[in-house]
Amino acid sequence: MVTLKNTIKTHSLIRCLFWVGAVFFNFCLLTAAVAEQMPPVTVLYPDVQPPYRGVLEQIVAGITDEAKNRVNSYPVSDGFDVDDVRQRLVKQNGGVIIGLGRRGMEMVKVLRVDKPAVIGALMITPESTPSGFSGISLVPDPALLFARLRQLSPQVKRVHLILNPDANAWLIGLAREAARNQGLELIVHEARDIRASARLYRDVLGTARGVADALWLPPDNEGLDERTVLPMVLQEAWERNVVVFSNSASHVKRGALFALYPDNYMMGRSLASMAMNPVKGRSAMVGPLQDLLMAVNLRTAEHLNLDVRIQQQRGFDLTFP
Amino acid sequence: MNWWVTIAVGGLCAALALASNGVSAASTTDEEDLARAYGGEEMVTLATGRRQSLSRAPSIATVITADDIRAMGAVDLDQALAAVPGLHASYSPAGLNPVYIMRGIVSDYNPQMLVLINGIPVTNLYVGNRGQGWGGMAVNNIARIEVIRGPGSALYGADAFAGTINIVTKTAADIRGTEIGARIGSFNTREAWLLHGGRWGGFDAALSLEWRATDGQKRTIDADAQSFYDTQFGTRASLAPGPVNARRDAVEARLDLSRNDWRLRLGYQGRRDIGTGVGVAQALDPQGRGDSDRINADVTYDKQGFSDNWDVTAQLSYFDVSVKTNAMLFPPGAFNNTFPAGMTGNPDVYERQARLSAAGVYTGIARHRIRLGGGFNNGELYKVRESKNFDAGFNPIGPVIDVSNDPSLVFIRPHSRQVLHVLAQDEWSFARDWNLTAGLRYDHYSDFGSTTNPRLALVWQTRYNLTTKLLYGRAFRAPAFAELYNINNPVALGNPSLKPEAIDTVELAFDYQATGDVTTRFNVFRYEMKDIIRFVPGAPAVNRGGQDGHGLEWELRWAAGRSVDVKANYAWQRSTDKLTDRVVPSAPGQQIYAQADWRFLPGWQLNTQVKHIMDRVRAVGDSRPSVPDYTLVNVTLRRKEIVRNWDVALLAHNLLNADAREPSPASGFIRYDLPLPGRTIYLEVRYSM
Repeated sequence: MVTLKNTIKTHSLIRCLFWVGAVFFNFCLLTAAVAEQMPPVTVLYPDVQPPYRGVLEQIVAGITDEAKNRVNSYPVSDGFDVDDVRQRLVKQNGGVIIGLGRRGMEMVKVLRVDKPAVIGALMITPESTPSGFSGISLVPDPALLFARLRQLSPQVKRVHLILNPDANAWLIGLAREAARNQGLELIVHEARDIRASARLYRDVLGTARGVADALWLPPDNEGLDERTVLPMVLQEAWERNVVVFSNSASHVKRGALFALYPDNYMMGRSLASMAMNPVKGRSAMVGPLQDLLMAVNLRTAEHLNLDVRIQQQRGFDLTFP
Repeated sequence: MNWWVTIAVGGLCAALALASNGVSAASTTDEEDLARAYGGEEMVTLATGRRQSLSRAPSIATVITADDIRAMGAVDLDQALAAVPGLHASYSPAGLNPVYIMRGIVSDYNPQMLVLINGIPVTNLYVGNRGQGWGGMAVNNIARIEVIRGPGSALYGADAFAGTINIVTKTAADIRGTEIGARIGSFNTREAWLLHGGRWGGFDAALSLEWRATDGQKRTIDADAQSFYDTQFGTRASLAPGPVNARRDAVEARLDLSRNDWRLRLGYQGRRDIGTGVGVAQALDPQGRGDSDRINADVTYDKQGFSDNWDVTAQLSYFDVSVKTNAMLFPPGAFNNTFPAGMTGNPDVYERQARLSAAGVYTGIARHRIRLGGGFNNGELYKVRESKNFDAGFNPIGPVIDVSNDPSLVFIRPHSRQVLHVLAQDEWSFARDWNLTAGLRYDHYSDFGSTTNPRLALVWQTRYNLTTKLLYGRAFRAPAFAELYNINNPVALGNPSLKPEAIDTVELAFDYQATGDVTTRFNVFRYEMKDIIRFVPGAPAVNRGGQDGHGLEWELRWAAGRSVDVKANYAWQRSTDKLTDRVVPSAPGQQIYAQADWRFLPGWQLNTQVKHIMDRVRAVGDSRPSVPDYTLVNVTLRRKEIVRNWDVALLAHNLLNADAREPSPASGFIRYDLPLPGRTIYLEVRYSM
C-alpha cells in the first residue's frame, strides 16, 4: 500500500515537473525574441538594510519586467568595484543606466560613461538634480493627490498648505496647476520656521469651515512637529470635520483621511520605460511620482460622513485602523 | 534572586537601548529618503508587504505577525502566543499538550479555546481540543496569528468560548521567493524548513516543508501517581524519580495555490514518537509514544464585487485526523503486582470532517453592512481501535489484546455528527461616530439539538485617537464525543443527554493612540458560564454548576526610539467555581509580559522578553501550597544579512534557567507539578533569495 502511494506521488511529481518545464521553455523562447530588440539596462542601487531593501528589490523587479529581463543590477556598497562596472558598460553596445537612491545617482556620476541615465527612488527636485539627469522623484504628484481628494470628498473647495516656500517652489508650482485643474482653491501659507508653522496650523484650523476646507500635510514635514503639532492638528481637524490628507501613510494611521505612497513595482516600470524611450528633443527633466498607492483611514472617513462604499474600498491599498 | 536578575537584565537592555539611539541616528540618506516617502520604517514594512486590509472587527483582538514571531525567537506556536494579553499556554501531563487558559477558563482537555488554521477548525471530535496527538506546531510558515479574546460563537460557531486562535499560513505573496532555514539546539533539537512562493503555471503558489525532531527536556519528576499507589500497597513499582518524556518528531507540509478568486490549500501535519510527557495516567512512561496524522484540504472561492453590492465567499473543506497511542498507563508491578508487565491501554481514534459553507456581505443599504451565511458539517469518528490488558473495572484480563470490536471492553464506538448553521449580522452606522453590530447564529446538531448565540457590539469613535467598545456575546462549547459516548471507563463515562456549555460575556474596551509612538488598549470583562460538563466517577458525565469571572487586560505598544520597540501587557482575573464557591484553580490570577526589541546596530536585533505568571491556587481537596509564581526571560540575538541573503540568530529561552512549573491536576499525584524546560539555546541560520 505504502509502495503504491509512493509510486503515485512520484508519478504526479514527474508530471508536474514536466509541465512546469514545458511552460518555462515556451516562455523563454517568447521573451528571448522580444528582449533582442531592447537596449540592455544597468541598474545601480544602494545596498540598504531591510526593510528598505524590499523597496529597491520591488523597483528593480519592475525595471526587469519592463526591460524584458535585459537588466544587470549592482548593489552599491562600500566595496563597490567601479572599474569593473565601468568596463562592462564600455563593452556594452548601447544600453542605458538607472541610478536608484542617492548612492545610485552618485555612482552614475562617478562612472562617467556616455550612456543615457535616469535616476529614481530619491527625494529630489529639478533644482537639486545634477544637470543632464532625467528621473522620477519620490514626491507624489499633487495632481493625483487632488484627484483622489475630490473623489473621496467632493465637497472640498479649498486646500490649505503650510510650508517653507524657499525649499518647495517646485512643489508649489505643481500644486497650483493641479488645484486649478481640479477646480480647487489652493491657499499656500508660508512658514519659515517651526514656530510660525505651528501658529499657522492653529490659525488655519481655527478658521476652517468644515467639509469645504482641507489641509494638506506636505512631503517636507520640517514645519510639522510630529509630537506636538500633529496631535493638535488631528484633534482640531476631527472636531471641526476638516479633511486632512498627507504624503505619509503614518499620518493616516494616526487619523489623517488618506495619503498616497509609492507603488514600487510600477515606479520601476516607469523608470525603465523612461530610460529606454527618451523623448527626442526634450531636455533632461525630473518629474513627480505618479505610480502611487492609496492608504485610507476608514474610521476618519466614517467620522467625516463620507460615503466610502465597499466598491471604493476595494481600490484602497492600505486601510486603517 | 531571579527577580533581581530580571530587573538587572531589563535595566541593562533599557540603558543600552537609550544609548543606541545615537548609534542608529547615523543612518544613510537613502534610507531617510525612503522613510520620508512612506512615513517611517513601519510603513515601509507595511507598504512592501502583502496588501492588506486591517479589519475594524468589533471584538478584542491581538494580531501576531511573522515579523513579531521572528523577532521573539519563537519556535513553536505556544511561544508565539506568549505575547497575547491574558492568554497563558499551560500543559497537561499526557503528551504535554497545550492548555490555552484565557480569563480563568481552564479544563483538562481545553476544548473551550477554538483553534483554526486559515479559518477552519482543527478541533478533534473525540475530546474537543486539538487532539491528544497535537505535538506542537512550527511557526516558520505562519503569516500571522489572530487571537480574539472572549466569545466568538456568533461568527465561528462551537468552541469559540473563552477565545479563538486563527493561524493564517503564508501565501505566495507573503513568501516571495525561497527561504531555507535550519535550527539546532538544546535537547538534541534539529529543525529545517523550506518555503517557496512564486508563480507556477498561472497560479500563485506557496509551498512549505518543515521538519523538527527533539529528544525534549529531561527535567525530573520526583513523584507520580504510581508513587502514591506504592505507598498504599507498600510496593516500589514507580519509575519516579525519572525524567519527563518530551521527545517528538514533527513534519508539516503545505501547498497554497491561488488564481483569481479561487484558492486551493492542502496541508499535512505528521507527528511521530510524541513522548507521553508525564504519562497518560500521570505515571511515568519513558517508552510511551503517540503518533498522529492530520490532513486538510480546502477549496475557497472569494469574490469581492460578486455584484454591485455583494461580496461572496464559499468554501468546501476536508479534515482527516488519526491519533495512535502506544503507552503504558502504569509500570510493571503496579497495583501490588496485579499487572506484572504493566497496565497498558492504547486507544486510537480516526476522524474525518467535511464542511461546506457560504457567506455574502451585502452593502446595498446605506450605512448597513449585512452579512448572511450558512453551512453544513459532517463529522465522523469513523474508526476506533484499542488494545489493552484490563477490563471496565480496571481488573487484569491477561496479556494485551485487541478489544476494538468488543463492546464490553472498547472505550468508545464509532459515531458521527451533522451540524447545520445559519447566521446573520448587521453592522449599522446609526449616527456619526457610532456603530452597532448585531449578529445571531443558529446551529443545529444532530446529537444534542440546537443552540442560538447572539452578539452585540456598540463602537463609539470617541475622539480622533480613542475608540470605545461595549460588547456582549454568548458562546457555546459542544460536548465532545468522549463526553457523550465514552463506555467501559468508570472514571469517564459518556452521557448522550448532555447539553452544550454556555457562556455570556460583557466587555468594555478602550483603544487609545496616545501619540504616534504610543498605543494602549484597556478592557474589562465579566462572564457567566453555565452547564459545565464534568465527568463523575462511577456515573455518566453531567452538566453541573457554573463559573463566574471578571477581570481586566491592558496592553501598551511604544516605539521608544528609532531603534527600540517596547510591548507590554498585564492581565488580572478572578474566577469562581459556583459549585465550590472557590477561586478557579490553576489559572493565573495575574500575568505580566514585557518585550523590548532593540536594533542596536544596522542589521543587529536584540529581543528580550520577560513573562511573569502569578497567583495560581489549588483545587478543593488539594492540600499542596499554591503553585509557585515564575518568571521566564527569553532573549534572541539576530544578525540580518551577515553575508548577503544569510541571517543568523542565537535564541535563548528561559535564559535564567528558572524552575518554572505548570500545575499538575488536583489530588496532586505529580506532587511537584509539571516542570517547564530549563535554559534552552538554539542556533538558527536562514537563507532567503
